[in-house]
Amino acid sequence: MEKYLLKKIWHKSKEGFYVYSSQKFFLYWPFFIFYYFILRQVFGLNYFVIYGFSIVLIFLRLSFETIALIFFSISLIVYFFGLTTEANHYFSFVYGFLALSVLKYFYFLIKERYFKDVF
Amino acid sequence: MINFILKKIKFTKPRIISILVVILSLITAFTAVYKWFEGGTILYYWDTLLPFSEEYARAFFSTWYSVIFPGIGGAGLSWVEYIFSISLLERLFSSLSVAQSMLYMLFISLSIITFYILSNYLLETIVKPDRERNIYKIISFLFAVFYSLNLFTFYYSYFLFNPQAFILSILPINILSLFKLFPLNEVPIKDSFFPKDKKSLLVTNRKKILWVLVFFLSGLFMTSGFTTYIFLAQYFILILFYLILHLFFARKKLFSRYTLTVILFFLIVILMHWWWFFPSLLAFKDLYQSQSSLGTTVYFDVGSIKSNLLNSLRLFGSPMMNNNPFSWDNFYTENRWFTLPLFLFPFLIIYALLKVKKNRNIGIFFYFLIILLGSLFIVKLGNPPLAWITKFSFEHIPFFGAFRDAWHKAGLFYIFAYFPLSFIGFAFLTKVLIEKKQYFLLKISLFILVVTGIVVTGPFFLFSYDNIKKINFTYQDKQYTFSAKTKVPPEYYELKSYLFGKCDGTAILEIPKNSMISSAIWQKYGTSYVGQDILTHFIPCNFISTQILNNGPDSFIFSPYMMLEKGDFAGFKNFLLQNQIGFVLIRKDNIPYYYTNYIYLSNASPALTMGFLNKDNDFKKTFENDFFTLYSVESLDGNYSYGFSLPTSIVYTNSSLNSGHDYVSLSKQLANKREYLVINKNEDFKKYSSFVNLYAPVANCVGCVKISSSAIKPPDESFLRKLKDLVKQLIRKNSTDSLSQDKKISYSIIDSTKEFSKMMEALEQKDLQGSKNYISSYIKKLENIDVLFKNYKASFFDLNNKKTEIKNFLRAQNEKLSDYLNFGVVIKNDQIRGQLYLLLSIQNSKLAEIEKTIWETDFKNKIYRMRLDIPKEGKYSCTVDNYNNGLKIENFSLGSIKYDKNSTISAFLSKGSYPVSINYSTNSIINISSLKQKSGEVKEINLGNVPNGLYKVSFSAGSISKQKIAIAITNNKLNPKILESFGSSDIPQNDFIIIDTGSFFSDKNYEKYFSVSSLDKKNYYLYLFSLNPQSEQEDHLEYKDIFIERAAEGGDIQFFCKLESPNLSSTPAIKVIKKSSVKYRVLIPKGQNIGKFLVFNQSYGTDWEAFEYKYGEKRIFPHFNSGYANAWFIDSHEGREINVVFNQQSLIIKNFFITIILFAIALFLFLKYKDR
Repeated sequence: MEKYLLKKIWHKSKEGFYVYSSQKFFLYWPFFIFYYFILRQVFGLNYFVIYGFSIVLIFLRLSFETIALIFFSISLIVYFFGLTTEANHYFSFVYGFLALSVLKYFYFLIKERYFKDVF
Repeated sequence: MINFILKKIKFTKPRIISILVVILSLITAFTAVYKWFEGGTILYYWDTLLPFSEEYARAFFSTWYSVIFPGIGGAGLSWVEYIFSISLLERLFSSLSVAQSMLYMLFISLSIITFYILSNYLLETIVKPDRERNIYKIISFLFAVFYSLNLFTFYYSYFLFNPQAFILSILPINILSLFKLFPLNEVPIKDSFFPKDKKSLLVTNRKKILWVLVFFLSGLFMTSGFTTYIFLAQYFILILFYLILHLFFARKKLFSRYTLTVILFFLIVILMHWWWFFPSLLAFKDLYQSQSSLGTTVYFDVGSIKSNLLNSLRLFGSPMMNNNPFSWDNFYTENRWFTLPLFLFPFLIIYALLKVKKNRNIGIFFYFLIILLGSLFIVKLGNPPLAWITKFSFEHIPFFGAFRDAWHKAGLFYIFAYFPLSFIGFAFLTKVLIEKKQYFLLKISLFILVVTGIVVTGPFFLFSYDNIKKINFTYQDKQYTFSAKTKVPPEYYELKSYLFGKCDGTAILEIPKNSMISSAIWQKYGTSYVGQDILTHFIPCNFISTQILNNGPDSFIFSPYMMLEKGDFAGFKNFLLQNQIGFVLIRKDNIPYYYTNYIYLSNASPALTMGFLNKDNDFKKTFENDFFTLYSVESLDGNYSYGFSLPTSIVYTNSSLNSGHDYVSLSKQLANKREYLVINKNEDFKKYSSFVNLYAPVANCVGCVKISSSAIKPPDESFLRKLKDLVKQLIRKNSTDSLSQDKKISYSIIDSTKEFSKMMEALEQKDLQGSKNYISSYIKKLENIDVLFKNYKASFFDLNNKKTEIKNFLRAQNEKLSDYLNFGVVIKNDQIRGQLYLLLSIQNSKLAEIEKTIWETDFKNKIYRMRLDIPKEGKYSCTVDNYNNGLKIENFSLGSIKYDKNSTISAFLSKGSYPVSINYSTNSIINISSLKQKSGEVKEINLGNVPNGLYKVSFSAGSISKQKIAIAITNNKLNPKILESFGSSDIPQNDFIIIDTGSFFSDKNYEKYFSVSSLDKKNYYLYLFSLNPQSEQEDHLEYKDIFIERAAEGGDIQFFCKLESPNLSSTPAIKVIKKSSVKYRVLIPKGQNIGKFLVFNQSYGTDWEAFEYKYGEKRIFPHFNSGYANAWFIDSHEGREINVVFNQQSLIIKNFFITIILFAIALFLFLKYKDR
C-alpha cells in the first residue's frame, strides 16, 4: 500500500500538472496569474490571499517550479505598473518555491537512494 | 619560423574555436579596461592595496609591519601572489600602470575562458543538445562575458581593485575539475563536445591526473582572493557539500576505502591553503576584534535597504544603490524600465528548473541551485522572508558577522551560481526552439539576451565615458575632486630618493595627520588620490600618521598632534626627542576632507607647523619641493637605534594610557627626558618599584562617567544566561557572607537594575500582575541598597565612589521611567499608574538625598573635581592643563589649599588620595538678556564663526505659553520664509546642526547641547520660530538670558604631578642591527652597567621576545608593557648581545614547510588510492 502511495505521489508531482492541464483547459498555468489578480481585486492585497492562493496551487498539484513561474509572472506584471514593493513580496514566494523544489528533489533522491525498489 | 609552427599545428575546428575564444576574451578585456590606464595611470581608491615599492612588497613576507609607526602585527602571506605578480610585472615593464592593466586583463580574459569551458561542460551534461551547433558556442561566450563583466564584478572586483578577482577568474575551472574528478552521474560522460585530441587538457575523464593538477593549481591561484577569509570558509563548505553529494551518488558503502579517499581529498584542499591561513589565524582574533568593535549588527538595517529579493534576483545589490555617484547610477536606481531586461535571468533559472526535472544528470544543476539559494539568503540580509534567521545568526553564531557587507561577502558565490543556472535555462530554451524549428523566436530570444547583456555589462561599456570613481567636495568655497584614476607625481619620487637610507632607524611624523586613509590633490598635474597613504607604500621608512586600529599605539601617535593643536610647540618638540622621531614631513598637497583628516585637528595644519619649525634652530629644513617640506630634528644628531633604548628614566604612572590626553600628560611629565620606561600596571610596579625614579600620578575625574538610560535593557532570558546565573547564585550563596560590604552594595545595585528592567518589560507587555510584582520587588531592592549603604564604613573617596555608583544607576532608571510616563502608552490601570508615580517620587527623593552629599564634577556650576592618588611621599610638582580652547581655568585647590591661576605648583604630598577641585569659565558665543518674539515671527541671530567643539544653548521663559516653537542652529543663512513653512521638503536639511521643537515656555528652563564639527570656517545662525504661525492665539513670547557657551567634557582638564629622584647617568650608546622587521640584534658595549631595562618602541605584542645566549643556553628576558611599547628586564647593561625577535615569524616558517610535506604525502596517497 505504502509502496503504491509513494509511487503515486512521485508520479503526481512530476506529471500531475500536465494531466490536469490536458484535461481541464481552465487549469492551464497562465490562467492562474489572471485568477490571482481577480482574487487581489476582490480581497485586496494581503498575505492571507497570497498564502491561500499558494496553498490552492499546491493542492491542485501544480509543481513547485510552475508555482514559482506563476509568482514570477505576477511579480513582473506588478513591476510594470510601478508597484516595486509588491513585486518584491511576490519574489519572496518565487524564492520560497525554488527552495521547496530543491527540498523535493532531495526528498526523492533520498527515497530513491535508500528505497530504490519503491520507484 | 612562424610558417614552420603554423604547418606543425593542425587547425581543427575545435582548435580554431578555442583560439577565437582566447582572442575575443582578450579583446573584450582590453575594451573594458583600457580607458582606466590610458596615459600611464593606475586605479587607486580607498582600500586598494597596491605595492608602490619593492620594499613594501617584501614586507608582506613578515608578520610585523613597521612601515606604519609604531608597527602592527598581521599575516599577509595570502597577498604574496598578488604583490609578487604586480611587482614582477612592474619590474618587467617599468610601469605600474602597465602592470596593473595586465593583471586586470588577465583576470577578465581568464574568467571569460574558464566560464566558457564550464558552460560547455554544463551543456554537455545537462542540456544535451542533439548535435553540436555554433549557436551554443555564441551563447556560452555571451554568458561568459556576463559572468566576467557585470554589476557585481564592476563594483567589487575592478573599479576598486579587490583581489577576489583571483577567485572569480579561476573558480569555474576549479569547480569543473572537481566535477571531473568526482562526477555525480554514474554513467561516464561522452566527449562529443570536447576535442578528441589526447594532447588536449580537456580530453576525457580518464586523464584524472590532469584534473587533479588543474584543481590544485587553480586552487593555489585563488589564494590572494581568499584574504577575505569568509570566501575561504564558503569555498570549503562548497567543496565539502559537493563531496558529500558525490558520496551519496556514488552508491558506495559509507565506511569504505573510497570514503576515506574522499575525506583525504578534502584534507588536501585544506592543506592547500593552510600555509597562509595558519599565520592569518594567529592574527585573526585581534583583526576580528578591531573590525567588529563597531558591532556587526549595526550593518544589518543599513545593508538591507536595497538588498531585497526583487533586486537581488535580478543581480542588483545594495552597494550599487548606496555608494555610486556615477552617471549610470540614475539608470539603475531610478529608471525601472532600464533594468527591466534583468528579469530575464531569474526567468531563465526557473525555466531551467522546469526543464531539468526530467533529466537524470541533474545533480550538478541542483548543486548550483543550492549555492544560489544559500548565498541569496545571506545576500538579502534583513529582508523577508525569514530574516529572523539571518538576524539570529548575526547575533549568536560566531564570526557570522563577517557577512556584514552581505552583497560583497556572499555575492561572489551567488554570482558563480547565478550565471551557470541562467545559461542552462537559455540553452534549454534554444534547444526547444531549435527542436520546434521556431527560428524567429530564437532570434528574438537572442536579441533579448543581447539587450540584457548591454544592461548587465553597462558599467564597463555603456557608461565607460564616466565609470571612474570620483568624489566631489568643497573646501573654503573651492570645488575639488578625488579621482580613482591617478598617477604618482614625480615629487613623490624625489622625496623617495632623498629619504632612501636616511630614515633607517627612525620615524617620520607627517603633518597633517591622516585618518585610516589619506588624500592629496595634485592640481599641477590634474590628478589626485584618496586611499591608503601612498607614502607608507612608496617610501621604505616608518611613517607616523595613519591609524592602526590598536587603541594604545593610536593614542600614543595622536598626542603630538594634540599638542600642535593646542599650540604647545615645546611639548611637541619634547615628544619627538623622547621617542626618537627624526623627521617632520609637511605635506602641502593635502586639502582637508572629512574622511581623511581629523576635524578637531584644524590648528595642527601644515602652515602653522611650518611657522613653528622655521623659527626653531633644533629643526633644519633638509628637503623641499612643491608637495613636501622635510625637517630633520637636529638635536637627535642622527643617532637612531630603530626605537631601542636603555632607559635612564623609569616612570610610574597610574594613568591608564588609553587616550591621547593620557600620552600628552605623560610627555609633559617626562619633559626633556629622552630614554624612558613607563610602568602603569600594578603587577609590573610591584616587581620593579625599586627602580622607579620618576613618579607621575594623574588625577581622575570624579563623576564624568554617566550611564545612559538606553543602556538599561531587558535582561537576557536565554537558557545559557539562566544557567550561568544559577551557577553564579550557587557560588555566591556559599560566599555571600565573605563578600565585602562594598561588593554587596554593587551586587544589590545590579539586582535592582535587573528588577527594574523586568518591570519595564512587563509594563510594555501589559502584564499587569507581573508589573505589580516587579514594582514591589524593585522597591525592596532599593531599600536593601539603603540598608547596606548605611552600614558601609569607608574612607571619603570610597564612600563617594559608592554614592556615584548608586546615583549613576538610579539616574538612568529614573530617566527611563520618566520617559515612559511622559511619552509611553496610556496606562489604563489606575493602581499601576499610581504605583509608578510613587516609584518615580521615591527615585527622585533618593537622588536628591545622594546629590546633597556627593562630591563630584559639577558642569552646571563649572567645577571640575578629581581624585589624585599619590604613590610615594615627596615634594611634587603639579600642573593643571586644559585641552579645550573654549575653557579657562580660574583657580584650583589641591586638598584644602587653594591656588589662583598658577598652572604649575609645588607641594609636599604624603602617600594617599587627595581631592582636586578646579573652577573654570567658558567662552560664550552669545549672551542676550531678553528677546521678544511676536506670534509667527522668525528670529535670526548671527553667531559668526563658531570653533569646533561642544556647546550648550540655554534660555529661560519670560512668559508662560503653550505655543510650540522650534529652535534651530544652522551653518548657513536660511531664508526665513522657508522656515515659516517648516516641515516642507524644500528646507535644506544638511544645513541644520540641531533642530529642536516643543512647548519650551513652560516652567522649566531650556537647555540643550550641540556639537560643531567642520573642516571649513563657516558662519552659524540661531533661528527661533513658531511652529503654528497661523495660530489665532496672539502670543507674545519673551526669551530671557539666551546663552550659547562652550561646554566642558570629561578629559578636557587634566591634573598631573611628578616626583623626581636623581636619574641614572647619561644614555649608554647601543648599536642595533636590523635584520628584518621581525629580527633585531642589540649590542651593548662593556662598561655600560647603568640600568636594567631594554625598551623597544614598536607596539606591544606578546610575540616579541628578547633573549641572549649565555654559556650556550638561551636565556629569555621577562617581557612587559612600557605604555603601548615593549620592555624587558635584562638585569644589567654590561656588555650584552641581545636578540629581539617577533616569535610568530619562525612559527610561520615551520608551518610552511610542514604543510608542504604533508600536502605532498596526502596528494601521493590520494593519487595512489583514488581509483581502487
